[in-house]
Amino acid sequence: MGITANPPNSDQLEIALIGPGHGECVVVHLGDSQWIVVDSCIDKTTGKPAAIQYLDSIGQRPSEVVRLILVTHWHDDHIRGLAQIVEECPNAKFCMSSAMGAEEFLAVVSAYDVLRFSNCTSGVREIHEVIKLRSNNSATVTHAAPNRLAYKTTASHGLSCEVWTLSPADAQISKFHEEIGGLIPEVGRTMQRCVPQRPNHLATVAWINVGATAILLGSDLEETKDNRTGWSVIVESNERPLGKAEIFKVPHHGSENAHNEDVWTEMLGDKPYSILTPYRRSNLPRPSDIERVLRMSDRSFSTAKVATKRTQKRDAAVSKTLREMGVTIVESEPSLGVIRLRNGGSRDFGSWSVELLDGACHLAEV
Amino acid sequence: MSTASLIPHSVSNHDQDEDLTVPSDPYAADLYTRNIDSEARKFQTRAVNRYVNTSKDGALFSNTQTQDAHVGHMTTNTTNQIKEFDTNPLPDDLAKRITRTPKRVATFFPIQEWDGYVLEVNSRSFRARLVDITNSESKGEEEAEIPLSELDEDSQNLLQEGRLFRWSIGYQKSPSGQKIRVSRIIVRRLPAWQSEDLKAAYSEAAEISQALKWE
Repeated sequence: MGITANPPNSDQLEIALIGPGHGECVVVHLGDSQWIVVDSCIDKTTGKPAAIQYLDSIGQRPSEVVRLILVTHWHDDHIRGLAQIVEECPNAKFCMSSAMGAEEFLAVVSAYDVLRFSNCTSGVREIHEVIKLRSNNSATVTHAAPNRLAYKTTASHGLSCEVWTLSPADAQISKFHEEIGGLIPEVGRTMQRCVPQRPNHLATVAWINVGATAILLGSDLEETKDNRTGWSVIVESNERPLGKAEIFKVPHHGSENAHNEDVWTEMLGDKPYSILTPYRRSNLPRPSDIERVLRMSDRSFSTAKVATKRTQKRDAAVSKTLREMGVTIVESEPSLGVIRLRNGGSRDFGSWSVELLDGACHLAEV
Repeated sequence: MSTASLIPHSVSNHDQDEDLTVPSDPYAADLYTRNIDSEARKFQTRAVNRYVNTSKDGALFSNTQTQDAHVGHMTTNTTNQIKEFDTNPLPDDLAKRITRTPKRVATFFPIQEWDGYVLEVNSRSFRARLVDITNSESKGEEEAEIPLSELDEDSQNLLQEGRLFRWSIGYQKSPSGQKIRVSRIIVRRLPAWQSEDLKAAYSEAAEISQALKWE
């Protein structure tokens, strides 16, 4: 990452969405070098967790400045490198859904950990390491649940900073337990990589308030058309924090199955800054997704372009074989890009500047 | 590992090792190698018998699995119904011939290898994520859509989302010295889950769960 090396001013808010590399990660500056990290991905060129690398690049020491680590769910594209962040930031609060601490889930991650020798890593291996690290530590784990205040602080800008979790709802946790039942390996079945079921029932949505300014981080939460789960239960809740967010991390890479029109009208301000990471494995966002998000807000951005698929240079004999087979091998995901938004600090809390770094682009250019 | 699917992609050249006294004609060379193999196999059987005899107090075994070095790597030979006992030590020169790798064997030299896992299986191809294990400087995973015709039928039947495989492209050298460029995809037959694995997983899960302190 070739990031501008200046950190935000102590009274400035910042949100940086980093991805894909492999996955996505959000870092938020609340003020006075107090940062929160939501999910994790790694920079494939360095192998380092993107959050650690980003903070280092702007002169912030992760071990001192990270106050909260929030894990929204356990899928591979949201937790790579997370164990290193947890290890390097032992004083940060750690927040996840209690469902990820349930014995059934822990049994699944322990069972699949036998495949740790494989070069093909999966989310279970990383989450196994993270939870083991956290269980060995005397620190507590904060429970992510609907309308729960996970972290609160103040800063020299004089405003109260709050991080709320808005999900997963009880019905979602029940569905997650059903999913886990299906993931427990069967005796006699050949070992293989763990394959999470769909849809994603566990994603934790976060709401960040700094004074009257709000940010909504949609994780991968999907819309289920069931008012006990998904986005419907969040929109219809009368216990969630009030206000309308100015910045929206669009859920599930802009996918149609994560779209809920009421979120845009009830929880977001007019033309919010909408930011997302693409996910090539599922071809997201699709052209119809791009069109839909741009219709909701033309201030929409992606951390990378997905149209260009790069290939590596190979030995001539290998290239010849691949040609004969009719196979093209492409990079699985584009390199890391960063969308960085900073506000005007105490003087002008409501104005934001957008920086598109390392291949990030306007959503219309994806 | 399942049966390898060896897909020859072209015959490049027919090279010879000059230090071997093998007939230059490929067919004759092949016969020559087979004779050596046949002779060595006899000695190998005697060696297996002796191992069985000494390690199991002379008990008679059948279906003894032995690694067969003569037909290339990753294949096994089942020695059925070992009936002969030979408790006499083999002469030194013969013992050496058993342990020595024959000079002419089918060998495979990979140029490029990936570890992969299956994302989805379609009617004519499968999509997979690949991790380059040859080039240490290669960063990140890659993705490919591979025709099912690159796999033999057994391997195709094993394909499903999450399945791990090894993909190698390289040169295979036949016993006669012929060099063929091949693509080889081996769907990994990992061990099956055992009830002990799950018991251990539940035991660790209970331990971790109790150690987590929730706020």
